[in-house]
Amino acid sequence: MPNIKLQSSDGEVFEVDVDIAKCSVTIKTMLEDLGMDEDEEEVVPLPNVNSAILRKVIQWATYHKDDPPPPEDDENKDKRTDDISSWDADFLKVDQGTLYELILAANYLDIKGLLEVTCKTVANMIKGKTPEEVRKTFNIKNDFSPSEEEQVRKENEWCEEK
Amino acid sequence: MMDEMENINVNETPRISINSTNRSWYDSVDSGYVSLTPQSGGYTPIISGYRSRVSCISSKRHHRIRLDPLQSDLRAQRHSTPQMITQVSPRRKTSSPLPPSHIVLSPNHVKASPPISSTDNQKPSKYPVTSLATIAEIKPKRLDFSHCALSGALHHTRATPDYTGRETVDILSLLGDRSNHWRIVSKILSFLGPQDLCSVSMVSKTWRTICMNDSKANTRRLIHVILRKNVKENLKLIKKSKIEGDIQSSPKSRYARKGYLLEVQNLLQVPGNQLPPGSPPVSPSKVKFHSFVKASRTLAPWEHLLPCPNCSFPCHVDGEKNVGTCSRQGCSMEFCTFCSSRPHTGPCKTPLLATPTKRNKRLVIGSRQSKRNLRRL
Repeated sequence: MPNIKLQSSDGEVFEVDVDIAKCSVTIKTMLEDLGMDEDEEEVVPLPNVNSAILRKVIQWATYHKDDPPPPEDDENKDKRTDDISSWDADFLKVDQGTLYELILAANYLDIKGLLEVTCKTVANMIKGKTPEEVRKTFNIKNDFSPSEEEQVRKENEWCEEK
Repeated sequence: MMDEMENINVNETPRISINSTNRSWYDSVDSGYVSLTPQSGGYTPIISGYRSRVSCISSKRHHRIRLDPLQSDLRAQRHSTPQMITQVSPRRKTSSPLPPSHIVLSPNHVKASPPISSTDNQKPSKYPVTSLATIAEIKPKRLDFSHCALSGALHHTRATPDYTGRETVDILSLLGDRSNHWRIVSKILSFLGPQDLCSVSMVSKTWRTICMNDSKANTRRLIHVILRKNVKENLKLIKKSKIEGDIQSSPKSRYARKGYLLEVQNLLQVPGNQLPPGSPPVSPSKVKFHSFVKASRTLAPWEHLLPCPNCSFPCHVDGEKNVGTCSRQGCSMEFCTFCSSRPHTGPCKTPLLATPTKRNKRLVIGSRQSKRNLRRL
């Protein structure tokens, strides 16, 4: 299997199987457009991804390389967030900074499956929580002024669980 | 870089040497024939006739043998006279820092040729030298660019700071506000239920704007709010009526109770004894009120009710188009809410019959007018 070299933003070079790298639509399109010479020792620079994140992305892509392509987005289908595989759940037991970087990397590299699963993880962090709990989870300051808060509360008072 | 240069030089030499051999051969032949011309006097011995050429060659051969072990690489000198080498190379060496192979090559042609053919001779020698120089200059530069320059540039291309390793991150604000990844934000929001969306909109100002900006999520949230509102208002209504105890007194509570009992009746109904569930017996004075209540059940979030200008039965009014449609089957009149005439585009043309304020005024819940209306019931 031919390999491809990917360079992270901090200069580390990863050698990856082309089939695994093609999980990323960005790299796949690039290879299709530019062609790939067997003997070319070209390094693909990925300026938006640092080495720690790139390592994780490659780890994910290696595990999921035989997955069928994810189904097309269906607007009317109700979205589930509880269908994350246990491997993915373990894989995404990381701090929020890494999760954020993973989302950015998945978006930049256009890896649909990874983007889906990371977004679901974020959604799960918000789900079923009160605003105060959400603030605590993400360490957000409540920056509403008292009057604004009252207005927001009034707007949503019908939704408060009893 | 030096290695490269020498390599290229070595590769280039045969071409030049062939050229030079031809030239010098030709020159020497030329000089042999035109022995008396002053041009050739520079280096050929002044001997006339055919013999001079022969002697020239023999002398060269003689020198070549002596030269070869010293400068094995430089075959170009095969046909040049030994005097030339000794004469030129020291002078060149002091003037330019080029590698020795160069020095011997280029002056060879320049000097060894008689003035007649000097321009011709210079060409093959000059061009390779200049082209070599440019190649030698460009090559390392290109390498430089692809490695050092690029990797140097990489560090500066990231617009956002690195958040790897942070325990808590305001993830939605970072994605939405700071880096404009709205596609991802709406993806995340699409995974949330409407109840969660309400919570999201109450977290902070940024989250609230994010929630509002995503039209799909916002619509879902608002519909949810309206639905919840309706459900809870009905619940409150029933509670109130139970507290009051006097169920029959208010038509509102009667209606509410009726809504409850309808399901019970449906369960108890015997298949053979099916009666069409007609409207409950109400006094004629309340017919219009009940028709309004009935119409309000099928109201969309952007609609409100107005009495029909024709029959004063409830009309659904689209808030955006300002066009009302009467809900009574026999009437089903369509009208502009401002001038009560047929629906039209553009400003109203027919003179207003009713005072416009009456049409535009919508009762504010809790206002004096609405309270008075309620009391009248």
